[in-house]
Amino acid sequence: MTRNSQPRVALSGLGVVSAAGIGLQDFREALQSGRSGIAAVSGGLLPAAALLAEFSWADWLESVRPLDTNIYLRARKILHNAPDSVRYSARAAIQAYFDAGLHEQRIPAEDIGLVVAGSNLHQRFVAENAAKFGQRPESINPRYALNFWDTHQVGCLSEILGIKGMSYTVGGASAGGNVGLHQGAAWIRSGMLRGCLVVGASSDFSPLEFQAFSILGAIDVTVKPEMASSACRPFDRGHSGFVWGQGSGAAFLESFESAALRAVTIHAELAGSAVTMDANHLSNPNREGEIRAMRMALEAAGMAPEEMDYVNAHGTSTPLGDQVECEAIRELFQGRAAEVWINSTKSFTGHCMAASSVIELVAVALQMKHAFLHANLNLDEPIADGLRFVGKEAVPVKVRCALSNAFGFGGFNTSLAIRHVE
Amino acid sequence: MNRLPGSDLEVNPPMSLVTKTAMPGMTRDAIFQVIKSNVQKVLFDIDPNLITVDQSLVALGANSVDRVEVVMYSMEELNLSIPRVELHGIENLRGLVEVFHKHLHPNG
Repeated sequence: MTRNSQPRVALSGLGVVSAAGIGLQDFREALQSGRSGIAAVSGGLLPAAALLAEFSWADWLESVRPLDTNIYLRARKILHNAPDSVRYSARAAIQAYFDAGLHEQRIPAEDIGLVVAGSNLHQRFVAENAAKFGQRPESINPRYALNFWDTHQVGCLSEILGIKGMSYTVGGASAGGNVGLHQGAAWIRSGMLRGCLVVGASSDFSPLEFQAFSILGAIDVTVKPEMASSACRPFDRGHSGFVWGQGSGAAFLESFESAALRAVTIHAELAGSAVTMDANHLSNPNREGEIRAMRMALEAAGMAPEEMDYVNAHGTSTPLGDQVECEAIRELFQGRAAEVWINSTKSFTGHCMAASSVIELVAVALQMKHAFLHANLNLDEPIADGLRFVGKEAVPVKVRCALSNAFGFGGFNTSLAIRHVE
Repeated sequence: MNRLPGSDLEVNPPMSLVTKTAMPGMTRDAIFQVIKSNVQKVLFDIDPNLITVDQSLVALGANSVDRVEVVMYSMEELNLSIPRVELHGIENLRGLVEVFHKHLHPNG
């Protein structure tokens, strides 16, 4: 129990689907070895992206079958013609479900909730159908009325995994994942649910969204093909915009009491979290808002800034965003700013929008468990002095307490406080 | 180099415009074959031998959206546009064949 006698929140199951790695082991190896999923892409506005490698759905589903036949059968049926984002979510969610041992040490279906984090998840599906509608209205996808809702993901995942507790979607632009984790943790702390699966969903953008981000200057479309694989350079002087990534992350949250009852291994503790607003609908970040989110997450966790070893930064590789986050971290830690390690997972995964912060929570937990911090892959010349950025190679560090930041268009500031569990 | 998803959006016409095989005067069996292929497409696990004119889509395991898909894909392939109301009350695939046949042979 914490100081205010609320249940503590355990991360007992994790899942990840990213261009850098799929599954906990593959993803950890990518982080340790410096293997990025970002590469040059063709056929559109973007010069670089972190696209998921083609994989065989049939083979993956076959690997699910021996673990749980019912999940296998439902996933097979539902994912057959689901939008790609639903498929990625399902793959991450099923990983987290098995990782949490829920197929063996069960929790009643009514006591498990589901949060799908992210909004406007099926934009490419919508755009494709809008194009068809313009030419032959009767030929749009018959599933459109189901699939265009973000909550379709909640429906699909709840059916596949047999989840019957309180469930919905939450959004917070690029900070959506942390908003979802904040919501799931609140349910566990309040005692409303025993367990909650939080899934950060992949944003399946159409050319329309890329064009709009480019017009706004958030994406740099002038990157040369030979520079594409190093286009994502958080905190480096050469940063020029975010690099979009496909991916999904999933985390199963439950009370420590529940995890103990089921005798499952805990990856880490989600000790505190915070969501604050800048009262600003635009895209620009705000130093004070970011500081307030980090401070509130620490307070919620009962941690002091002095205990902090590491910040997994939002660090998208956009000039203003990186700069303001550096200022916020320096201001928060004051004289200790040079002692707190900083990295950004986005140089491996690209910016997976709302899914990013769930993927980054997975990265934090894996780094804690395996006592290392991954590289900032393309950090040649840091934009700020006096901060302790991990260099271009991973370092062995035993992290006990960490923050994980995510900020979003519309003035969203979020941060998680994560504690190592022996 | 990988291609960006959706990058073919503005260059290719929708699949419906290139795959259409409108065939006025089709026989009932040919219409059934179109429906059968779409049942297989939607119910990908199904044993094709189970798909007979006497079967209903429900009995074959199609859920409510699967049924809409089978009908829509079949109408698209046959270049038909039949009001939903005419499709109500159909009990098996034979009934669906009959409605499609009627519209493909408007003069009897």
